[in-house]
Amino acid sequence: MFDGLFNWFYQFQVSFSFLLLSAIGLAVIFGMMGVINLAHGEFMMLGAYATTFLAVKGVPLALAILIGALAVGVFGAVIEMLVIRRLYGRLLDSVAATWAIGLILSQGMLILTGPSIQGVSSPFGSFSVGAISYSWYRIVLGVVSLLLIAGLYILFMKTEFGLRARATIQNQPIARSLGVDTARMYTLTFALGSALAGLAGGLFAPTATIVPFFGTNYTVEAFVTVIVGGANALVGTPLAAASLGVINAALGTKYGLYIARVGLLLTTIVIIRVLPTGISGLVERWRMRPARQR
Amino acid sequence: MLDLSHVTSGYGRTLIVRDVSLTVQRGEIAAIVGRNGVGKTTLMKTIIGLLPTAQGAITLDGEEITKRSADARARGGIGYVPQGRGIFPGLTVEENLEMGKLINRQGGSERSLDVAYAYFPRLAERKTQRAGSLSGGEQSMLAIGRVIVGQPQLMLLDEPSEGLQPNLVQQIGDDLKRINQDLGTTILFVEQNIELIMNLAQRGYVMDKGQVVRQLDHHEITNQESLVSHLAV
Repeated sequence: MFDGLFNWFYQFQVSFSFLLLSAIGLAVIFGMMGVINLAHGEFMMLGAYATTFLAVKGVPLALAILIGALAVGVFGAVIEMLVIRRLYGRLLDSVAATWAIGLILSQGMLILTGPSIQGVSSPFGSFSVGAISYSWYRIVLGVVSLLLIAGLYILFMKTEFGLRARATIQNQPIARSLGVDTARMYTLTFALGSALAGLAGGLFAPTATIVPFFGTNYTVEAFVTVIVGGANALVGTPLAAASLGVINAALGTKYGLYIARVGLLLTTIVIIRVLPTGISGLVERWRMRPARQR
Repeated sequence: MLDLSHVTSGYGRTLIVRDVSLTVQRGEIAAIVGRNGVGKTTLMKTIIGLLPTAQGAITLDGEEITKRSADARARGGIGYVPQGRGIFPGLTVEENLEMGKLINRQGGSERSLDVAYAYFPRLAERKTQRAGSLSGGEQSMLAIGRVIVGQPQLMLLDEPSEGLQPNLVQQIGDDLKRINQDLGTTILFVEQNIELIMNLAQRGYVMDKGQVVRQLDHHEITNQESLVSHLAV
């Protein structure tokens, strides 16, 4: 009984952390800027490559992950200033441009480093409950994802940057007329979203084979989580990751990964049909109701 | 303090405001009056920098600001209360007021939310409430309070009476007069409400078809018949 419950909880927290980590960068960029970054998976790939290169050279894994995330953040800022900035308000153009950037990155990496590189092994070892062996590193990923959400909450809800970012999302011209350099806010936000993608790639690097198309393994889940979560990254993405994580774990432990993925996509279709603005849209409507109706 | 010299502006190639020249002196309250669709809001957006100036020059305290961005103009001392109030509905009252702290940053004055709470005590009672749930009158107070937190040299208001009950229009007019007297804030406002214009303005300009067609002295702008003739369709 306990073994079964633990196994289900383990699978849930693994699903939750992978969905959350792979989606949060995409959600920040989409929610804050209205840009659909189709190069998100390739930004994750860059983070994974940077982390792996550094770790193989002897840099401690945690430091390698942080440096990788930072490097992808800087790269994202450059991409925003060179390309994205010219495409605000032009959704389809920005989709096409980020798709092209993704293709250049993955093909460029293939040319530069070949079909795969030497990976790093998963740290911390494993432990057993009953007859099943579990990875400590995947437990650590769950803790990191919770810490990341807490950190983002503090950044967006308790700092001047966060206040200005939220104001800019709600009404960009008015934020400008109050002295906010909204162009700089967008650059910083895109850099943050890119760094989060790089961080996810770095964190996932010890769990996967490092190939130029590394990011595509996570892109579908990331987009599904963002769509289900809605525009508010802080509220929607964790709730979507938790909801989809439950489905994924329940179906995955009983019927296997293929059925779990089918269940994930079917759940997404149902949620989009019932909640077109996602889970965060529902939460937002509830919060905006007059107090007496609550 | 504020000088517009032959300013022409609009939306892209569609020019709305044409060859407008006007002056606002430090410490005064000036009004821009005119019927719907004559370019008053376009002019306000041009002064704050949300719309580019196609021709002409805008000068604040002798310094040309024509090419400056809206955020740079705000940090340089211009506070803007837009038509429809422009509050951030998803932020709390307190957070909306915090957003005013960047205004007039170059002026170096102390920034405290207390100045807004002093003029509008109701905002203090509602500071943790989401701004979108405030009444229309409270939202107007918030939009003005947010700007005075930054203690701007010049405050631009675009139809502050819009959507307000008559008693609230009177109150907002009285509050703006107190702000002008106590804080020394220069005020330029766009308005169609005759009561508010008469209550607040010291002089003004009449706009028609995108141009300033007449100046009104204090006697004319406080004369109801004169105002009705300029605002009548």
